Parts: sequence; C-alpha cells; structure tokens
Amino acid sequence: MPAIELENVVKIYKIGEVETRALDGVSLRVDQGEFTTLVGPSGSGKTTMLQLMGCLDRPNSGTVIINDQDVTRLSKNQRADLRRERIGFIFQFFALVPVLTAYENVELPLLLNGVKPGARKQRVLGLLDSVGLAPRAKHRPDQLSGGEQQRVAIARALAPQPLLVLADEPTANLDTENGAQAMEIMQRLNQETGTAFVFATHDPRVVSYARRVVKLQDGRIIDNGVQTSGA
Amino acid sequence: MFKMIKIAWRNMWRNWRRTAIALIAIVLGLILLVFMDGLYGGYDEAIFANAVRLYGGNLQIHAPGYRARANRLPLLPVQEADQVVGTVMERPEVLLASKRIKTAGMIKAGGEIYPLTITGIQPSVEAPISLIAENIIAGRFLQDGDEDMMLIGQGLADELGVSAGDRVTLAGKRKNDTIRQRTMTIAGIYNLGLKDAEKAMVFISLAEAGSLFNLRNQTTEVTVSLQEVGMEDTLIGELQSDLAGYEVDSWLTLNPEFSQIIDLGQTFSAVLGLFVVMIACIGILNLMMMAVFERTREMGVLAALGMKGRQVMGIFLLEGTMIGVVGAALGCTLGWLAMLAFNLAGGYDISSFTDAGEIYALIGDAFYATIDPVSIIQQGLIIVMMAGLASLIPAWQASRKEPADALHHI
Repeated sequence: MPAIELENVVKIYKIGEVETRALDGVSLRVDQGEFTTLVGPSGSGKTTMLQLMGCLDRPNSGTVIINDQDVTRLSKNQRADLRRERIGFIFQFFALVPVLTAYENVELPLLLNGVKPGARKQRVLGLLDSVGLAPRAKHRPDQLSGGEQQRVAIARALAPQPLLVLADEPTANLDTENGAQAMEIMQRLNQETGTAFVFATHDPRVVSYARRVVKLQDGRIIDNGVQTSGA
Repeated sequence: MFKMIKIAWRNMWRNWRRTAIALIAIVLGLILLVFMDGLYGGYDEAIFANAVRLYGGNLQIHAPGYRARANRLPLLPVQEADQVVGTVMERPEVLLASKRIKTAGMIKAGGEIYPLTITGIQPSVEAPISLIAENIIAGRFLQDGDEDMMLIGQGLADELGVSAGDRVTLAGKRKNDTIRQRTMTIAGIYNLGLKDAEKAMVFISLAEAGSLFNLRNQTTEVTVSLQEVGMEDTLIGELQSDLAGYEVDSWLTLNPEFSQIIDLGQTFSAVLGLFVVMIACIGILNLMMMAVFERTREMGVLAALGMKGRQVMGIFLLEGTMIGVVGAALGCTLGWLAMLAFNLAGGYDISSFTDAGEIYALIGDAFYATIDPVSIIQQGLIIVMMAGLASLIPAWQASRKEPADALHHI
C-alpha cells in the first residue's frame, strides 16, 4: 500500500530571468513501512523532492498522491491540515522551538491536532522514553546536545502517528556516534510503528541503514532503488 | 490557547534586551501621560470647582429666552421657582439649589463708572458653600433680612476708597429696563485675590433685589451646585426633560472662556497621548518586524508541523499585545505611584503665581493631581490595543510566508 506517490512531477524555480528545473518529470512510489534514502549530489533535487512530498511546496506539473488524494490541488490550509495529521519532519538543523522544553516540543504537534491532555502526556512521555530522553524532558533545546536535540526532533516527528516521516540530512550536523544513534532510533521506530521514512542525504552512514536507495541526478531519478538488507 | 499564550510570552523574552528597551519607552511614555493627565485633571478641578462656586453653580436654570441674551442679563422671571428648586433638590447629585436675581448695574464714584453685576442671593442658603462667604475680610456676610446692605470686593473697595460700614450709591437695571439707584451700606468686603472679579460683582439679598428691580417675590435664576465638577453633562439632559419650559445650562455654556481653557488642556493632553502611543507603536512595530525576520525559519518549521497561517499570526499578535500589556501595567502603576507621591509631597505650589491672573488665583496655594482609576485604566487599554495593532503588520507578514521559502531562510 503506497504511503505516497509522485507522478511525473516537475518543479521549476525562477530567479530573475533564469529558470532552473529542480525536478524534471520525477515519478516515485513509497510504500508504507519503507525506510528509503534519496541520494545524489548537491542540486540533484533531493530537498525539493522532500518538500513536495511534505506538501511544503507545489509542483509546476505532475501529481503528488497521499491517501488516494492529489495534494497538489489542496489549498494552503488543507495542506497544513494534511501535514499536521499525516507527515512528520526531521531537519538538518534540528529545528526545535527554542522557547519550548523537549516535552513541549514533542507535545506541540499533538496540541495542534487537538489531542486531549491525558492522551497527550502519555504519548509524549512514551516517545521521549523511546528516544532515551525521558530524564531530559524539562530541558530546553539550548540545554541539550546536538544529538539529543535531533532525538527530540525524531520524537516530535512521530508524535502525531504519521503515515510518512521526511528527513532532510538528519545526520549532517551530528558526529559519528550521535548520527548512528539517531539512525538506529529511526530504524527501530520504523519497524515498531510501520511509518514510512524517506531521507535525503549525502552521508554514506545513513545510506547504509536504508532498505531502498533512490538515486537522483539533475532533477531526474536515475535509479529507482533496490531493496537492500539494511544495517 | 493557553499554550499559545505561553509560547508568545516566552518568545517575548527571547531577546530580553530588545523587549526591555521597547518596554522602557512604553512605560516612560505612559508614566508621563498618566501623570500629566492627573495634573491637568487636578488643575482643572481646582480652578473649576472654585469658578463654579464663584460664578453661580454648576448648572443654572432660567426662563425661556435667557440663553440667547445671556450676555445682557435679561430679567426674565423663572415661573414657580420654588417648585423648580424642589425638583432639582430631589437629585442625589445636587448639593444645593438656590434662587437669585442677577442684573446689570454700576457704581459711579469720583467721575469714574464701574460697570458690574448685581446679584441678589439667598444668604442663608448659599452661605455654607459660598466662596464669597469664605473670603470676607471686613464686616460680615449678608443675612436674609438685610435691607440697604451689600457686599463688595476688595478690588472695588480699593478703587472707591471705601471700607465696611461706608455707604455707596448703586444703580441697577430694573425689569422694565429703567435704572433704579440706591445708596447702600457696605455690610462686608470679600477678597478672592481676583481683582477683576472683585471689581465686577456686588451682592445683595434676594429680597432687596426683588424690591429694587421690580421683581418682588420673583427670581431670574436658579443656581444648582453639584457634588462634583464633571457631572454637568449627564444631569443637564435629565433635568431638561424634567423641567420642560425652562432653560437648563451648564456654567461652562454661560462662561465660554472657561470652556476654552478646558479644551486647551484636553487638546494638549490628547497630543501628548498621541506621541506616547506613536512611540509605543513604533517600538513594538520595529521589535516585531525584527522578530519576524529572525524567526522566519522557525515559522517554516511550525508550518511544517501543520500550524496554519492564522495560528502563526496569532502567536506574533499575542507577543506584541503582551508587550503592550506588560508596558501598560508597569506604566499605569508607576504613573499612579508618581501621582500619589506628588500629592503626598504637597502638590504643586503656585502660591507665588496667585497674582499672575484670575485663573491662578482661583486655585489657591496649590493643586493636586487627580487620581482617576478609570482614566488610568483607559490609557493602559489604549496602549494595549495599539500594541496589538502595531503587531498586526509583522504578524500578517509572518502568516503569509510559504513554508518552503521560510525553511530556506538563513
């Protein structure tokens, strides 16, 4: 069953008179429970593809289908609703809200989804425990290490029980040990929850965890991916 | 909502120095505004409370047609004046109502003519609150049964070279527009420190005025003194409907020069308020625009989590409004404390200005700031409202960012 499908997606950025085809007729299907990596050199279109998959942007042409629905036709607010309920994000720069504690950062998507306080607390504590940060729940991002912050971001991405988690260079700002720890946690949560994970990365360490590697070059998919054994 | 308030509150203190600078501007401005407003209030109250007592009550009731010719003091009898007094006295806001006869007159002495207003009063009724009665420096105040007796001011006594007990010839206009002249004894001399007013007002008993000016047992004016200055406008409308067939006016209507002084004070206060509000708005606008610029990527993250534009806008609006709330609370409290300290320290001493003119003389030696909690709260609320409005543009900008663009912001 597909978590997301892209069909013949084209994305063009226009800066002044110059047009850049960031994605040039890309088609891809990611099934539920997949642990997939998008690889390719800088400018190959990895981040653009993640943004289109995450309904953060709209393609110039083509369709992006989530839950049998073409999300390119949705309004800005409808896309926000879809992201809130169905999609989790992990960013290279951790992207925690600096004024909120680890607990509150994980709680935020649940608040936006209107989850009741009791269920919210149980879910947040469970997620923080699963990323090994229950004792650090009351710490703010500036009191956490980079690795800890990224683990909070992983917990936050999974909080609304999404269909799909999109991670853009999730280990780029982490050292080897923390990077490996983050990947192991994501791999474990992928297996436990069945949530599909899609990573964009340059990092061979991340690629080594993936069960499927999709290669991009100049805005096109040059290899649709093969199922690897994973770490 | 509570969580959003919490986020906005914490965001407000993220760059505490910048917030503190904006707050200082708001607080200082508001202290100035609250204090100046209190000072103006006190100044107005001091002048006008005495002016009301001097010139004949907060409200005056006349026969129809008086208002149009008020400057000529027409002798139009007020019908059933006792009933009018009774109706007025039923109002809890009314301190006192009394009957008067007021006519134009003059005193001739040494080849000089001194034009003046002759006022026939009910001495026993007015004595308890009369500014004249309080300031008798020679002789005595009038009594109800006085005949051929009058009160004159120190200024006039000096001009005429007379003192209490001397006799002076007074001429006044009668009901039929003829002049009635009578030589009367000076019962007492009052001193208000207002030379012009002292030269222009003499007082006799109502009975005497009625007899002299063809208005026996009649009245040309009912004066109404209220518990405090400022209640006039509300009461006029109510009294006017109770007393159809009479003209009910505020002392301000009949003394437009004081109205101009009040208007001037209010205009100055409004201009000052406008500057304070502008300073607060510019400070908050600048702060919020910088916050929106700095937090663009964070907004992209919030949008990625599913927060809608209006929710992002709400956070920034709340943040700006909270700066206004904190500034208003501090500014109003400190402004109130400043007024309290000012009053405890003896108010503003103007004893050295009392010769500077009628206005200062009316105040006395000092005036105090008026502490009006409703007005202070209103000023604070205006700042809060304007803070919210100033945040509107940056908040709207924040809400319109495309998530993908916002995430790429460095």
